[in-house]
Amino acid sequence: MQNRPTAAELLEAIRELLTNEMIPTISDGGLRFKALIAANLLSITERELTLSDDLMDQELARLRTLFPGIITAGAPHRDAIRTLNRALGAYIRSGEAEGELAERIHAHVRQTLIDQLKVSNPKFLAKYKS
Amino acid sequence: MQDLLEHYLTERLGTPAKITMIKPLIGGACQDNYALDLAIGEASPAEYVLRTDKGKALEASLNRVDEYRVIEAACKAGVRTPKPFLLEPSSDVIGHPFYLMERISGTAIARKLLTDESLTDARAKLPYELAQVLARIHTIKPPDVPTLTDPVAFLEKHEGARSTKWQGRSTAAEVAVIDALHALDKLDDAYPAIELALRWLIRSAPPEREITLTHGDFRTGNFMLTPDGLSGVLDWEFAHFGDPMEDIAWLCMRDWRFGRDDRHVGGFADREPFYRAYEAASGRQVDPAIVHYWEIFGNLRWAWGAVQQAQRHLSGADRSIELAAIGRRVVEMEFEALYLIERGPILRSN
Repeated sequence: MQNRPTAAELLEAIRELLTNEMIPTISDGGLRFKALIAANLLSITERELTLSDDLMDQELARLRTLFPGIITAGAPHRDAIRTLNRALGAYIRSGEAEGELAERIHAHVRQTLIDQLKVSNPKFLAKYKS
Repeated sequence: MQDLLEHYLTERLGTPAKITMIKPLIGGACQDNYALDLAIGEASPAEYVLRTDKGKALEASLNRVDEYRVIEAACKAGVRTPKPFLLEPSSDVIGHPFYLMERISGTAIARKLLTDESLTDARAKLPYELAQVLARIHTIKPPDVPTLTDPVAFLEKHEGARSTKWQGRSTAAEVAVIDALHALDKLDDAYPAIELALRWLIRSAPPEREITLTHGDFRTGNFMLTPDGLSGVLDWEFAHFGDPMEDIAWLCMRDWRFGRDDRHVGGFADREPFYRAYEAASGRQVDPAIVHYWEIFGNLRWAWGAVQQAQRHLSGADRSIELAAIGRRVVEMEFEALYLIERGPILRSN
């Protein structure tokens, strides 16, 4: 474990430098646009570092409930989620899910998108609440 | 390149051709475009655009030769679009096929188009002008562009691809879904939300419908506007034969509103006046349920399009922070598709 600043706090410092001191001095419109994208990608990464452990725990738990037969114990979260997502994708495509199971799958997929948006673009998510 | 072109044009046109200016145009993820001024014979220089393929084009996009044929047909049908002028189908001259077309004035940049004060009057007319353009595009039927496959012919040729479940239902939708499954299978990761929306599209496919030419990327960002109004529609690389409502739905997708979310049509108009103008111009009814269907499909198409764009960065084919960033936008289109499914058809008054 490293001393503070944490990784998210370091990215925040870089983003502040970019946004407050560097971008205002860029006169080339194209470069300025790319720098703004870079600043946004830094804020995405900051949110990801803060939120993603919990969100991935929840996603994996939901997937394991949907597919109790697929053993992914011991695998890193990311790999386990990828494996179960492939199973989920194939199962949805088969068209076999019906009734209550289909509803649970829909709810899971929806929640996963919401969690992804919390990291990638929380402002986009807010549009749907109004 | 200038010397090669001058030499080629002089020979091809049988009269001295002089390029007085040439510079690359910014924008266009899949092509290299150049602005050039060309003096033919004794005439004073006229303004053209040279359009050529860049490295590897996006999948499902037309090559320059087919694109030229589509634009020719569009011009013949009276569509307001830059006139194509000269096609070189071989790679012998500049390393890629290319064509010239007239250069039109105006801006296509979405932010400017949606907010610039000098364009206020032009924006007010835009839904009507675009409805006219779309109605004309949709007069073009499969035999009019013989090089372009139409969905009926595609399904006849690929009997195996045809599902018996689809009998009596939209062939345009069936081909679209087949394309989608094909594109999905090429991606590294699974996209359960896209799969879920595709299930809905398969179950909810509308009955057999009329097939016309569709522009395929008819949206804010792909038409040029001057203070006088619409100067032309650009970017025909995704043109295909399909359901004309696909173009209407694409223009209404959330992502092409560029933040002006209350204005469903491209960020500049409400649905009702636009639908009405299209109905008047085309004599075709706009059924919100059919638009809803294609709007869900459009979001999916743009979702995996965005995955492919990010892939160009990740594979090293085209390193770019913009392409990298698009990878994290896929989820927006997935969420919108699911939202539209849950919400049901959006009535004409938004």
